Amino acid sequence: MLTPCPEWEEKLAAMHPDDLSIGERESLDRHLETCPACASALADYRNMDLLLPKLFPLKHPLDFRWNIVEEKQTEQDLPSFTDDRCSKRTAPARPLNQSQMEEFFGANPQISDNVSLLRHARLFLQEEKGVQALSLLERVLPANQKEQKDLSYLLGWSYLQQNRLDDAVRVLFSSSSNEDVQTPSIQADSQHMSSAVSLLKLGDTAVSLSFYEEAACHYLQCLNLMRIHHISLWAEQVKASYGLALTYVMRGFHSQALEAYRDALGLLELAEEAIDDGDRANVYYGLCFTYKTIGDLPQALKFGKLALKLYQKIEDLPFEGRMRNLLGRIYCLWGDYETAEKQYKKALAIAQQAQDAGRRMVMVNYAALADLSLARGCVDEAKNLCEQALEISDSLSDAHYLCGLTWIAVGKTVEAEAGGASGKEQQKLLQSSIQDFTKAKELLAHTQAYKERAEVDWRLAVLLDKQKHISPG
Amino acid sequence: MAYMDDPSGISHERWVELAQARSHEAFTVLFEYHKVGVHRYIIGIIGKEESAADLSQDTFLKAWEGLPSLRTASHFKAWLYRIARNLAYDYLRKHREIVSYDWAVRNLIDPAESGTNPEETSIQAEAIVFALATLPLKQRECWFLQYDGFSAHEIAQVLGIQVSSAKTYASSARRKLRIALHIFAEQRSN
Repeated sequence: MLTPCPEWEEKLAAMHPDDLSIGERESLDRHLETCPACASALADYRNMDLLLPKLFPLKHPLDFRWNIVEEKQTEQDLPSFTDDRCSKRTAPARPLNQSQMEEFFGANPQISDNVSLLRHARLFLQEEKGVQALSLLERVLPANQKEQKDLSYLLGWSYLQQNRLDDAVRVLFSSSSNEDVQTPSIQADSQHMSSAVSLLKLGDTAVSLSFYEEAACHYLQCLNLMRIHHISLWAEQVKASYGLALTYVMRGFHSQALEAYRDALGLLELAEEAIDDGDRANVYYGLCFTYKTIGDLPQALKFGKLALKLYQKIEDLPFEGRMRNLLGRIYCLWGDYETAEKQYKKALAIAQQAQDAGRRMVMVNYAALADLSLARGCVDEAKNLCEQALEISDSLSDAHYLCGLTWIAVGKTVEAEAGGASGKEQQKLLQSSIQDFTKAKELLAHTQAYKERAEVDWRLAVLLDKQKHISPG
Repeated sequence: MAYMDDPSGISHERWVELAQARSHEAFTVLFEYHKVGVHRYIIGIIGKEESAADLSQDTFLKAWEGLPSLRTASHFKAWLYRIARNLAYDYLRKHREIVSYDWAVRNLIDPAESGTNPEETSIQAEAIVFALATLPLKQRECWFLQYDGFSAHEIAQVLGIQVSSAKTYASSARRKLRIALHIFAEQRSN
């Protein structure tokens, strides 16, 4: 038996493509041409590899014992939504009866108001206890639009968990007042189709409430259902794919987001005629947003321009406005402040044209222009724009994510102002900036926008550190 | 049903995400794909086929329960094998038996895979199995994992060691197994 060269032995044993770089592999190949000892060792290793499939075969079939999983579930647990087998075997869950309700509220006296009821209902739903959640939701009398939206979303979720499709459709589709929520493209004519379309709607509603983690689950269930039951709702598949992609972006999972958007692009190619330009534009918008987030500005610009063209073609003004805002941010990052300003101002004009319906985008564009002014070093101009944005933010009760972003812009402006001050004035401004970021943090805490939440935490940490090191005198 | 044969072309990571969304079907796909490798790896640690089957089931049960907590779908395989490893090591601690590898000798070959020269294959397989029995546990683990398609980086994640150590263990295992095969071949010719 020939002994291989010691310096090559470890590399000879590398099986996985990632274990050797291209250069290392090429060097090894060159060495093998001139070293019979190493070539012999490699041949022996390959022969050994051929033997392994013959070793340790499974003597008996190994099947996953789902019955053990079900045994671990309690009597009141609900069947998994996507598994028809489970729904036949598990005992149906029951709503909390009067004495159980009294016991529940006795043990949890703090749960009396709508906010607590909604929060606890959500916790039940996250544990797939839709029936128990419904018992709480039926006690909620919404006091404002935000609570109404939350209630509709949670009711829809609860009904879907219980397979009460008609109720889910009634609640989810009749409560759409938000421009972000999308309506179904067809009337579903089978139970699975209805379920898929309702899950998509649930995902969209969760996104509009910034519950990205939950939205991801709903979209995945929707896609899973359509794949398993071969449901050819192309438009819904595209919507679910890019909806899912958006949830990845908002939580900071950029490579997964790009993959999901590429899936959506693939679907666009497969079912070109069945997909309208609006959905196509939304996929391009998403890709633009993701590439901008990871810093690939050329790609972001490429997809952004494609999206803008389509939004203009279909005369979708609100989305054209959003696209211009996003393009403005890209140009700002690129340092092309002049083009950025043009885009922001066009986006602002579109939003102002929409009057009440466009107030959120007016706020967003004022905040964006404030950011731009900061980038140009015009702090006073940024302050004025922040004030205009805040006037609108104060009147919005259910736009936590967008208002959170606005407060981030305000915090950055005050921080910049503090940079130009000194002594007590500087201390005061730093403290004010901390309060602004804290406000942003409180608003974003209602969302699952992890990336922005991390940014705020980082900014607060920097400011608190700065505050410690600056002497008051 | 191998996911790579799935005509819809769903990637492994996507199946993991679907399973995280509590899809039984998706988890079953993952189970079918990984069960042989996990079972073989557990045998490699504990040396008992019957107990390995139970531990394999437990591995997948724990994986199903813990799946929502897995943050990155691409880490599923290393995470799954880590569960298997922990269960196998718990078994070793509880039973404190010397691994006899009688399973290995009696159940060396899948008859369907014997090829054209079953006797020769049997002898070589016997040589490898006896050599495996003499390897230190970590080297044996590295060999099984490497064969199951783990990169050195992934092996290091499963075993909780440095990547350089994983490479060293894997190459030591291969070298020793090669020597064992040659010794057996020499003994036969003598």
